[in-house]
Amino acid sequence: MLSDNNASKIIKKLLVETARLCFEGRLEEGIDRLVIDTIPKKSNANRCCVHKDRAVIKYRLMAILGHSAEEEEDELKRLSEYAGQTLQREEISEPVLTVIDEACSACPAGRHFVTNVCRGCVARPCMVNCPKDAIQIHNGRAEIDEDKCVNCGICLKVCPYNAIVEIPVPCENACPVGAISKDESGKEQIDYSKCIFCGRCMTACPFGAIMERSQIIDVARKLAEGRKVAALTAPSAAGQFPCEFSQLKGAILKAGFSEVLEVAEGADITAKKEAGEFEEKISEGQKFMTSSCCPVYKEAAKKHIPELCEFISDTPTPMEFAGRKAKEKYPGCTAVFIGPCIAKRQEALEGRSIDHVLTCEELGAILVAKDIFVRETEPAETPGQASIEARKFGASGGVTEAVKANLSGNIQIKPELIDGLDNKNIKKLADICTGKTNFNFVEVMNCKGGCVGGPGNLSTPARAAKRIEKTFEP
Amino acid sequence: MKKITVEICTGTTCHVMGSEAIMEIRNMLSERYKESVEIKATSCLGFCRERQAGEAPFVKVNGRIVPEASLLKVTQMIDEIERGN
Repeated sequence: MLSDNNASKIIKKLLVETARLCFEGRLEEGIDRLVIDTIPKKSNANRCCVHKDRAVIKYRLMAILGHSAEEEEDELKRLSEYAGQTLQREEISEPVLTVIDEACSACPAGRHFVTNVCRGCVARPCMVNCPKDAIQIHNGRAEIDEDKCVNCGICLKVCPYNAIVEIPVPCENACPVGAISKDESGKEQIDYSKCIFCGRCMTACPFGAIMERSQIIDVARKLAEGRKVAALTAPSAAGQFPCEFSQLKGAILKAGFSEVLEVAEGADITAKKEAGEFEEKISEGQKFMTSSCCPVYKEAAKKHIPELCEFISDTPTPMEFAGRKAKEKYPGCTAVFIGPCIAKRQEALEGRSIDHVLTCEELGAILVAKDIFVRETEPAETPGQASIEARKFGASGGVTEAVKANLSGNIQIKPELIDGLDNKNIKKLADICTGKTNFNFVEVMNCKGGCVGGPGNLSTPARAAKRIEKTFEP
Repeated sequence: MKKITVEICTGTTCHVMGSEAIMEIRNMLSERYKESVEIKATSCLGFCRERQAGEAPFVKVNGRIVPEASLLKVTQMIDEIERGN
């Protein structure tokens, strides 16, 4: 998530405070007060008044406790009751996202607008070129008749002063599959039959109206109870803190996790199997195979490009293999995947080997709540071993390199990389199913730069990739 | 020109609250500051533990604390020190 952004800062603060209450054993007692402590009576309101701000904070805390804002039936139900439910629950339910309609500003639908940069020139290319006769000049300035305008954008392109702007709805604009749209009241809602859990709407919304349903309390509670909880760190997580990876492992253990297992160990199994599968399928005449580790991509294929599904590798993901390994090595443990990804929450719900998913941001909140300072923590090493290629799985191109390293040499790999799943790349993926291709392996990463570009990260993709590189240089 | 030292805290709290974004100040300073301003990443400055100096992320500019630091606040502090206040 964008770090220097007030909406995300508020959420991070709330994550820390909620986790702190849980570790202190005062969650139910303190959670309602957290709303007023966050927005005191005399603070400057972000919205119309402190009361509206407080209402939004309440829904944010519901999401942090793992609930949906949409599930609220009784507005008088207190956060302490929701917290009580969270402390009892053993099962996580769908969906993984929630839209806080109290926070949604119901942004006016995308339209074109003439700014006061307009000089009412003589040429008037906007007026002359408008195919709908929607532009008139009033008081020396162009005006758009909204009833006639069809948002074709011609006026914007032809204006020599850049005086016409298109006002987007940020979440709708960011969604590559048209899964978020307005209801009859103008507030946004997610259509889960289309949603691919990429998280773009969440990071794009300037009001922070879309949130993840966190599992931070489910994990914090189990840590506080001293249960056996294994942390499974995604390859990209290694670069998210300003310290050595071994120190981060030490910090995770200090926070109360009983084990740390690198998901890269699972990535080694994935790469090996995927390489074998690739050689088999290509030699059988399949024209190409795609990677399978990105859950957003698989969701996009399932819901929007069904013809692509037969080309996706059947090999389970590194998270799945790492989860199985954890359950085998540490019987009875709770397996917690820690990474940058929202869609992994969905993948975990559909599988059986992972109990909880935390983002790196949420791990950070747990460390802060426990007053653990990673740079001052004793380094720890984990018993497992992962290859360098597997540890680089989380940066674009990493999957291809890892598969390459596992090939037997019978088939020549001609790789293609889809780095970022935007509308254009979704169309490209649909096209390659039917057309001729000059490649036989496609690595698809929903996030630009790979998992290091994920929405639940703390560091920029470049910094994270550099740290990973530095940590695992031979 | 006065020497100005900017110390950006990389303690866990400051990091989680976004101190890394302030590192970008390197690329945002005006030309005349390029020589005189030194930017350092420091280990935890300890302010978050005191809980009195304001909120993370913290940056120190020539020893002066900037709480809830942002690119804007740090740049303003540099300007202020440069003007001799």
